[in-house]
Amino acid sequence: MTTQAAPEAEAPVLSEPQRLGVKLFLQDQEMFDRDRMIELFHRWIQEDRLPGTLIDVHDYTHVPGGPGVLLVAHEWHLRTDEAGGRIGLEYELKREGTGTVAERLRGAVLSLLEAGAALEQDTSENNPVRLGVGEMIFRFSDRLAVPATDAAFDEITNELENLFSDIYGDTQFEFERVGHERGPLTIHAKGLGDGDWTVEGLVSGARPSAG
Amino acid sequence: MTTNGNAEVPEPHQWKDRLGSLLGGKLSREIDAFEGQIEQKREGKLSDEVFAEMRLRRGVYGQRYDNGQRHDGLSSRELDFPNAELTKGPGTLWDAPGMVRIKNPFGAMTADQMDVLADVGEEYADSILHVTTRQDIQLHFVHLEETPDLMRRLGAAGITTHEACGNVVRNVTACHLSGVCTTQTFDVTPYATAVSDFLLGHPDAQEFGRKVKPAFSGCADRPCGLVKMHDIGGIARVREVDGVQRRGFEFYVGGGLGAVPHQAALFDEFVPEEELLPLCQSISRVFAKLGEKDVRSRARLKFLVAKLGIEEFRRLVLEDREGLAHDPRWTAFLDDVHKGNDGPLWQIEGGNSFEASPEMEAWLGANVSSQRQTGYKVVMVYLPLGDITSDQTRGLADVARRFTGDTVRMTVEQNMALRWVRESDLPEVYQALVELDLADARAESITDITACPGTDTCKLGISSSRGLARTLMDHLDESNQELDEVIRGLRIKISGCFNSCGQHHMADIGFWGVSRKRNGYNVPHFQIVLGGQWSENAGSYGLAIVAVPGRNIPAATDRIIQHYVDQREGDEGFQDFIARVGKPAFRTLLQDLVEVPTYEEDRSFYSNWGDPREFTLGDMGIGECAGQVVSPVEFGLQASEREVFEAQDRLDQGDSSGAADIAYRAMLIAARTLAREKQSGLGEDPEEVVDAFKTHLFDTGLFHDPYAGAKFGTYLFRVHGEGKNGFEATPERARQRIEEAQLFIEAAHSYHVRTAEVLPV
Ligand code: SF4
Repeated sequence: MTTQAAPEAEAPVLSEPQRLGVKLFLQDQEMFDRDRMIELFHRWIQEDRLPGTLIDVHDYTHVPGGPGVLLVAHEWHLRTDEAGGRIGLEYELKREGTGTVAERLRGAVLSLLEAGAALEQDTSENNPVRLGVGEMIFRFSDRLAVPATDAAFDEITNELENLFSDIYGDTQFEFERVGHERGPLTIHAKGLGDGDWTVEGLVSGARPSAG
Repeated sequence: MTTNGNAEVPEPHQWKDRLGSLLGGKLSREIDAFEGQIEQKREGKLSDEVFAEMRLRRGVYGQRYDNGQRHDGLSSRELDFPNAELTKGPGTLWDAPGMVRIKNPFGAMTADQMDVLADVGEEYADSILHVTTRQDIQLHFVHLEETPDLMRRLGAAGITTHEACGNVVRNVTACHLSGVCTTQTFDVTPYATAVSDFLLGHPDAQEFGRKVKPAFSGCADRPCGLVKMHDIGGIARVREVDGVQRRGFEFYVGGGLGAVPHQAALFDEFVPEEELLPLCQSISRVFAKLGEKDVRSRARLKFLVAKLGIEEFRRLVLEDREGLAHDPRWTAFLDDVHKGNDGPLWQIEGGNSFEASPEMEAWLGANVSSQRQTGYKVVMVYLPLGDITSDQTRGLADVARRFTGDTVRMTVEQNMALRWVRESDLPEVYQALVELDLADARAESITDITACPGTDTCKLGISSSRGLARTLMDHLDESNQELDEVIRGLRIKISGCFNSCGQHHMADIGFWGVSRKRNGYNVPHFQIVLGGQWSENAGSYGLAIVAVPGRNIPAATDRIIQHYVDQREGDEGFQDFIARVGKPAFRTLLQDLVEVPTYEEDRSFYSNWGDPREFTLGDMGIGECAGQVVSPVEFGLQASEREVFEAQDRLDQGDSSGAADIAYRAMLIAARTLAREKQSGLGEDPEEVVDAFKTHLFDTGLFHDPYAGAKFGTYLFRVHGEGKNGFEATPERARQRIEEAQLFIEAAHSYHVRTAEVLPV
């Protein structure tokens, strides 16, 4: 069996990932409506609703567990990800990332929260879509920079604890490695306790100035 | 060094360093060279044309909107890429995402290779691997600068993108059942491998005017290899020579789909196995020497075979073969072939009895078939529209390791086949596939629809083939339980334009995307193609009967199916039914569905399926003109279409000569309709019409297609010339002329759309 992940012994543990995904889940999975999302993403392109070079919208909802409805930008992909059978909104940095590992993590979380806030706001008038913000999935689709190893897991969770203390205050989070054993490093972060958070409210905490 | 918080860490390792030893010197150097070429292009040291051919040969394609223009539904906009001035080909922006095609000879993959494909799909693309109708894999939204690393990672796993595109020998396809099939003459896999290895990078196969697609099939009757639609292809044959059973191939040349499909011609009823490679070499040499180079639209091998005639082509090839210097590779592979490898990869242990749930029963019936080797099964994994996620691919690799002896093959119907599954393992395999969401019981059925990428990613797409396919799948699913068994086995195939990448010509019910001007707007339509034959290696091609607005295609499909269910006689098959009832009956059946409601009545008709943007052709972004409702041009073009239909009907009745004449007349009507706008009072004399068309529309370049250039206009001149020089209307040539007339009329429609759009409102 070959895996092209970096062998643990020689790995430099971490460097800055070029690609990194963060996902929030839909509070009510039944609220997902393919046609509505396709229309919304096309409108976002018309309105330049999010920063970046927005290119096109793709429908992968025919693929179980797939990317769902995908908004492709030069710098990132945003999708109604269905991996693991739970629909959510996933932001994936694809290129042009800058800064340290911590800065990239913060940037990705902020971008996701901003996209999530836009989604909630733009669907608020009719059957509003709500995102749960008490848990997140992090996926590091850059095996060179972030190997799927225990050492990388430890380093990333340290960074996440720092980041989450800025965003969520004192709330404790537990971190669990999930996904396929040969897949990219994937971490499920789950808040302990019931915080009274909103997507909109968390955006300011994720901004670098607050950190 | 870079910093990570306070800690200093070394620069990341590069894939180049990490995988160098796994790559092998030659491949490593080739990829390094490609990386160097990317750098040279960035520095302006290579022209767009030269660099485009270099990257295409490495399987690195452009993708829709890579000219930096996209119509967002309101207006055409420039995509604001960082390297706005840099290009990677003519009119192709550097940063625009592209497609990478990965070549897997006969669609075979090991589990380790699947793992790597999953990884690169996730990292460099959108986490989707798309299986094509030629057993390749395509990744979309890949950035040019990431392709060298992508190639290194694939290369280290023994996979190449080399010559996946460009004017070279493309992926060698073969039946996915080769070696395990109950109807095969013998296993064609080692022969497909040998041809693939031998021609990859072969100096005699580098100077083609267009690509060459080879295919192999283990038997004549079934469709898995589709030999007759390929440039070169062999069907396995055994013949007794001097009392000895010898292996060889019934060998075909000059087939192909594309805008004008050609059935391959029989080159030789029996090419002995030791002659296979030298024959392919000589065909390559003759094609490289005599094939068209300048006019792209006539440069495929099929046109050379048609031009020379099969006898002359055969003579030239055999003459070349006589002079070839011996190459030991021609027969070296045969030693391994004759060692034989037809035995089971696994031993059967234990019994085969198991209880199956109703869902599993359905899956067993639809997706599982017996191998020639007792006790073993082939499990078909249905992939919706050929798509599979990276996560699923990893999971399927696990299934392949555990249950198949590590062999997976992609199929020309965009699925994956697990071979050598022990019957006793079926419950566990089923359960594993259920967990991966890969146990949908619809493989090779009417709802297992093939669609080309179309407007999703292809630059040439007119109508949304995948959008329609998704819609039809949902639509048919609703009535699936009631579908008669004969309906269930029909095939639907969809192409986004006339280029037939979705193989619509060979479907029971085929569709290809066209545009029509209706009520002053562009409306996405599909031509409906009936009469194609999927079996017998794509035994015959269908013809278009009528263009129907995309929105009405589900209703049209229902009617065609229902008509068959209601009117068929006894066990009459679909092709026989079409032939008996005749195409005019279907045209009448669908007539009211051709109507398009006004924009105000139903705006959905003016968008593609799955894309709420108002439809525009080619995202040119020119404002719509609602000034005209029905123009004389529209009437004229409809009249020409009716003539084409008459021509098809005449051909069906066996009158090739009459059919060819009517097709010519259809072209003249279309040409006159357009030319009359420029030259009022233009008469009907063919000479006058062709002259006027040439002067006003062709020589001015106005008629030229934005992508195909002068191609369609030249059809008229050639057909007109044939009329003067005496034309022998064989059924095949009449059918081609009908196709060309159809394309000429399509081009007339596009011209009308383009020019009408710039008229003031
Ligand atoms: S048939 Fe046309 S739209 Fe479809 S992939 Fe081929 S060229 Fe593109």
